[in-house]
Parts: sequence; structure tokens; C-alpha cells
Amino acid sequence: MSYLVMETHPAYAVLLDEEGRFLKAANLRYQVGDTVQDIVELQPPKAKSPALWKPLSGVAGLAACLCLVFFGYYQPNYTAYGTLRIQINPDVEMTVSRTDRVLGLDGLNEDGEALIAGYAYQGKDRETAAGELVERAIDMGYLSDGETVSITVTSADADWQAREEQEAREDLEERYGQTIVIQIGPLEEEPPATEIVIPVTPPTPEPTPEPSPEPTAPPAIPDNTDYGTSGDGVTDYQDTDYGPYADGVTDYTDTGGETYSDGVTDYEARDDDDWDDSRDDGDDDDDDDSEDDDDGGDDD
Amino acid sequence: MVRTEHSIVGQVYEAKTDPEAADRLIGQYMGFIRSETVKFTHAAPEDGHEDELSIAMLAFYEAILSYEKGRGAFLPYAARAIRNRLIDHYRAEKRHGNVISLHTPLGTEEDGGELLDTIPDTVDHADAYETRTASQREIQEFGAQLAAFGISFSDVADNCPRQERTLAACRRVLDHARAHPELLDRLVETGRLPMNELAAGSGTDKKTMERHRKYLVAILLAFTNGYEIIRGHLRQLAPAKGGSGK
Repeated sequence: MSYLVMETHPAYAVLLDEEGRFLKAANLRYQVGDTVQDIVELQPPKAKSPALWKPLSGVAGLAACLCLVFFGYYQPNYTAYGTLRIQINPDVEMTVSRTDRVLGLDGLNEDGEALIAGYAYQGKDRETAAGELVERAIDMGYLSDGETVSITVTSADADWQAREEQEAREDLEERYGQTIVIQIGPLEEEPPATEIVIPVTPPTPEPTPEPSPEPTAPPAIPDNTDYGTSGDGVTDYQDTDYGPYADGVTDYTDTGGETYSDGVTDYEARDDDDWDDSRDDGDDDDDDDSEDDDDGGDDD
Repeated sequence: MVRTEHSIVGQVYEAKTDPEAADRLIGQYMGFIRSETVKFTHAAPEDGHEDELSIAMLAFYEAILSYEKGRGAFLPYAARAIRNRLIDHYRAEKRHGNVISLHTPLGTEEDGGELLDTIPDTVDHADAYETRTASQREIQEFGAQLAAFGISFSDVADNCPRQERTLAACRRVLDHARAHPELLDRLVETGRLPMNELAAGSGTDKKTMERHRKYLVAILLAFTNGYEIIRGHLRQLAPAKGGSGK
């Protein structure tokens, strides 16, 4: 390939190759009109490398901006970071962002619902909202002089929680400190909530002590009264003297009761004997004397 | 210190677009380029190292073109560019091996002729000189006409399509224009490219033509009138027009 020198500069020459390209090359002592063979062509600055990351840089920049907006603005302002609970009698819970913006308001009891009904918390900060809620509570008659407002802050961030409690307390004390009592922590009027209930399982009553065969056994079929694993239907209850299973043989005949049951009692005979004995004893003294006498008499 | 560096940066940025400013800057820093070359060759450029000096100057010019403010000071950047370019040059020379050894003694000759040329040189020398002056004249004329369009050869070189496909597209435009000489006449008369006709006739995208407008103007002008030497040089481009050339 030969090149026609078209123009010369100190540092380079413009050459025309045989295919119609105009090139810049090192000016190796060329003169215009020369036809040259070996050239050292100029390497055009590569514009490629920026083109590679340029479209990406836009995306990256956008992403960075979004990150900045999210972490720098959105997250501290619009994501819940903790809750602040105000207990007067109405029980109200505020969801608060890191930068003290109130994100939500919940009534935890009926009075709380009533207190926050119609209250627009949007865009307000914790200090304003807490102050206004207490004011509302005073207006609505939930809170009067000397009563206690309890504030509880809950968050995963202990530092934030402590600081928030402190600030909330200071804010409220500054405004209502003369009239009401501000207290940190849950209201003390609800010890039942903190009371630990140990569930004591009551001792299960013994499942009706096994009835002895004789007394007041129901004439029912003993199958119904089988207990536990021994419920094979075969029990000793058949041995009763009562009901259809009674064998008609009672051992009562052996007892002395039978003799009494004939209506004929030996009370008199037995009493007589006793009575006779006693009477005999009384008589015996006399008798002994007499008998002694008799004996003596006999001896005589 | 800081101020001078700053002025260099300004000059470099000016030289990026303005060839004359580039020439001035290179002339101003010739000593620097020379010293960088000597650092590499360990010999005066006059002792058979003119090529290295030329290449160093080219490297300096490349450094001007590719320099960006964020890359630090210009002169260290240029020094690095010169050094890299000379290393490249030596490697390329080494690859040629024996061919170089034939060239080297001839490189010192001021005529710029080559050993192979010296054999017919006795016959051609006067003729070659004549051809050269003729072509010189023609090229000057061509350059003057281009200047009337507000275009310099440097602009054309910068504007030249680098991709083979684009070059082929431009060639199609040229072929179409040559098939319709009235279009070439219109270019000369009005000083404007008849874009619509050329685009429609050659099937080349108008945007491509617009991007390489300067190059197209130059190459079309070369095929208007005269410029036989240039056209002769471009005979690969113009197989149809076998009559031209010498």
C-alpha cells in the first residue's frame, strides 16, 4: 500500500491511501506530493472506554440519588422507628419515625379512640402531637389537675428510646408540669398486667372411689361402672345380694341379727339372770351369814 | 508553577481541535520531545534517529488528542505516551528483521529514497522529481479548493471513516456521483453536497453521509476535474476509469 502525502505538519502528515482514506501519520521527513510506503499511523484517541460506562453511569447516578433520598430523607422521616404510648385514662400509641415525625396514631382503648377521633397527626412531630393530645385530653375531661400521664417509649434503639423518653417528658413537663404529673413507664394502675399468673392446675379429683359391693350399689348393670383398663365387663359386682344378680344367698343368717328378727327376744331371761345375780349378791351377804349360821348350825 | 501548568492545559485543549495551535504547541515543546527521545535512544536524534524523533512528535500529538484534565499533569502524560510509542516502534522494527537492515543505511540519506528504488533511480530521478513537483502542485490546488469549502486536509483525515463498512458506504456514494457527473458539477457550483440525490441514488443512510460530509466533499472533489495524479493514486478506487492516471 502506498500513500500520497497531502499535507505536512511538524508532528504529522496527512496521507491519502489507495482506497481513498485520509490518514494522519508520523511525518518521517515527508514532503507534499511524496508517495511513501511504510507509515507510522496515528492512533486516534479511544473514545470507546467512556462509552462503555456512560450509560451505566446514568443508572448508577440515579441509583445513588435514590439511595440518598431513601436513606437520607425517606427512611429517617417516613419509616417507623419506635412507638410512644401515652396513658392517661385514654390509652394512645403513636408510631414515630427516627426524626420524630408522627406516622400513625392508635387508640388502645375506647377512650383512646375517642381522644384521637378527628385528630390530624399527619406531618406533625412528636412534641406537637403529644402536647396537643394531652391538651385534648384535658379539654375532653379525661385529665384533670394532679392526675398522671404516663409515657412509654418502645424502640429497638435503646439510645433513641431513652432520649425520646427524656425529651417527651421534658416537653410535657414544661407545658403542663404545674397541673399534671408526668411519669415515664407504664401506668402503675394496672398491676394485673404485670402480675405474673402462675397457672396452678387444680388436683384432679379421684374418680369416685370404688364403691363397696354392699352399700347402695345401684341396681344398674355393672358394665356401666367399669373403670379404667379393667373395664372388661367382668366385675365382682355380680356377687351382690341385690338386684337381678342377687344370688339369694345371704350370709346374714349366721349373724345374731336373725335371732332378733324373730320378734322373740330373750331380754327377760338374760335380764333376769343379771337381775337375779345382782339380787342374789345382795342376798348373799345375808345368806352367807345365814348360811354361815347354817353351816355352823350344821356343824353343831 | 501551577499557573504554567494551567496554561499548558488550556493550550492542549485548544490544540485538540485546532491543527495550527497543535503545531505551535509542538514547536514550543520541541525541546521536551527531543529530550524524551534522547532519554530513550541515548543518542542525538541527528545520528540516525530522526525517525524516532518524528515518532516522538507524533506521540506528543497523540497525547494532545487523548489528554484529559482528570488524568493529571500533561507533560508526564506526554512523556509516558512518547516512551510507549517508541517502545512500540522498536518492537515493530525488530519484527521486520533483515528488511530493516537494508533500510537503515538508506534512512540516513536525505533524499528519502530506498535501496530498491536506487536501482532504477538513475533513470527515474529527474522524472520522480518532476512527478513530485507536479503532484505537489496538484495537491496544493486541491487543498486550496478544499479550503474554499472551509475544509483542511487535517479535517478530512479526522473526518475519514474508520470502519470498513462506512468506508464502503462512502465509496458507493462516490460511485453514484461519478455515474452522474451532474451531481459533481453541482457540488462545485453550489459548494454543497447534493445530499438527497446522493442518498437516494446510492442507498446510503443520510445520517452516515452527514457524519462524513467533509470526507465526502474531499473525495468527490478529487473526482471532479483535473487532479489526475490523485485519481491515479486512487486507482484501486477507480477501476472503471482506467484511462486516468499516467
